[in-house]
Amino acid sequence: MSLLSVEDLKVSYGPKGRSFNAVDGVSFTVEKGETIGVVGESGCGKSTLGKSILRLIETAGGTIRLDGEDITGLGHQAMMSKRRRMQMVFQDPFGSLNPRQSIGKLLDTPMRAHGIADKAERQKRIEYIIDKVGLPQTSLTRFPHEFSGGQRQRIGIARALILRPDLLICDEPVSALDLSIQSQILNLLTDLKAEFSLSYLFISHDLSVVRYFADRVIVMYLGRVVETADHETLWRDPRHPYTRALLAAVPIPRPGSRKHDAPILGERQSAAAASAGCRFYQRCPMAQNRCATEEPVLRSVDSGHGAACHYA
Amino acid sequence: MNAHSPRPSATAAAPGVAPARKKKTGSRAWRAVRHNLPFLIGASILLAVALIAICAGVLYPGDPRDMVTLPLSWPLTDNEYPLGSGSLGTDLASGLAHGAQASLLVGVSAASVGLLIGILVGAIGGYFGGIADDILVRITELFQTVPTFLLVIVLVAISGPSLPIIAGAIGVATWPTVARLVRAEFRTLRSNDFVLAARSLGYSTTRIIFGEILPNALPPIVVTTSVLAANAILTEAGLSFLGMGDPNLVSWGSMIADGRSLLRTEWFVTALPGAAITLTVLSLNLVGDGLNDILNPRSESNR
Repeated sequence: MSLLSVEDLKVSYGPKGRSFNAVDGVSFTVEKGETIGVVGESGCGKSTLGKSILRLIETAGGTIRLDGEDITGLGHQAMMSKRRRMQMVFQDPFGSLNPRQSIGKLLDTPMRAHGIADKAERQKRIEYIIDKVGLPQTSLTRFPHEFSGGQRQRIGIARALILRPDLLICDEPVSALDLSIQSQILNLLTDLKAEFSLSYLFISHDLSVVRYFADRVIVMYLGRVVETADHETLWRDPRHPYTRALLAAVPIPRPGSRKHDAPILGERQSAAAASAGCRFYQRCPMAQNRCATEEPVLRSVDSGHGAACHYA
Repeated sequence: MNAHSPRPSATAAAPGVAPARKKKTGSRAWRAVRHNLPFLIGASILLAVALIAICAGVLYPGDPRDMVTLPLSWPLTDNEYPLGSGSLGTDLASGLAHGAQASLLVGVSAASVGLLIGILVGAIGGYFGGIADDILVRITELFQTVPTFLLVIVLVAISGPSLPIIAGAIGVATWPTVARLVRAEFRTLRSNDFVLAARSLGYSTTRIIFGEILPNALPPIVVTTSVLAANAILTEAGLSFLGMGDPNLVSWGSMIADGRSLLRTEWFVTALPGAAITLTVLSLNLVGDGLNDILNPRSESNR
């Protein structure tokens, strides 16, 4: 059984009648110990996807299963035990920590809210986890503003791990950090994955980060999955024209090596203006008449490799 | 993959944060206080008034309304009654001390009532938004359109003039200021990621509102509270001046009313309680201004 399985998930924004689906029929699974990378440009719904799995945003349709149990309709109380099992690391290390709480309190409150009454036990866990994320014990009495961005992200990770979850949803965890700090945090996440046998849903717009990190990659465009494959296949043999364009856009640090073989035409459409055909139709370099009228479904093009394109 | 790379970097970065910054918050706030002269002046006046109010019963054990000497003796003429006497031979010094008690009591309790209602209404409206917010905003506006003083007079006229009623009425008339402020703060703060993090950790709504958001909204609320207390003192004085104060207590407002007809000859009967009100209200405003600077981490005096 998959740790997390999402089926036909829909999330809509906007007032009734004029709403649009920011996430539109997304399905995927996360196995135990697996790292799934979700990539796509900003506005493609990848952050919304992560938040809706944690039920921070109401879903408009589809099901989310944790260990096979449907958690889509659970109330606050019933959701509590599920929240212990999946946690989130946020993008902004400055906004995601309450500036008025010491690090000790930041880490203590989640356990109190989840009914861990034994103070000594809580203290032990705090000291253990702060050590695991590579911060000194003296950090516990200090406040978030006394730390750098990278250190704060470590605190955010510690907070996410304090309830011992199985699944960590990382929403662009390194995109707000300097390049040199990014690799430290990625290494930390890799270490912690082995240590706590975690699964990750790793959301990022940065392909090189996902490439380093993910076992399997989901490429999203305007709320839909356009391609999914294990990371080696995806880099060796991308099928969807959008994925090809994304890969071609990754800069290669060698002079004169810039390739122009998969251009994207024009601007990204608004998800609200999505028409009947393929959502990528207007920007696609290989679009045909059929693409304007018939929306391609995600189909298997190889074992474990799916693409939503008529010509993949 | 290099499994140990995060560790050395963390320890390397640690000394940058570690040395001698343990009591940073405390010492910085204290430094800001010491360099803020208006705040220090305001706080000392307020402290002095509070001290006099607390000691009033010990310093002047008798009823301040009792006739103790000849009426209208000028200040500094009688050693026993250094501040002179009122139109009925009451000791003005005793009246001022007991009046301080009444004024501060009204100021503190009215501000507390206003704070309590204002925070509740503002927090609920600001955090939840939607229909609840719409309704609460309309109610707030309803209270705000009614002139404060008029509303207090009506409430006191209905329920009878006693100190708790007066304080409560002033609180009920002034909470919209707090509510609007708290609502605005909550609307900004609720979209912060730390609130989202709190929700994802499964915190209850009560815990999020009072444990996570409210502490971040406190600085402007504290500042407003001091102004609220000052206004409450003024309103009570006005009420007593009109003869609608608590008849069993001497307040600064009733003392001014007592001296009203004597203004051209025995002006000190009015001037002394008037000065007391001015000084107290001024000190509260100075404290409020000072707190604004001290609590705001980006203000000049904090560097």
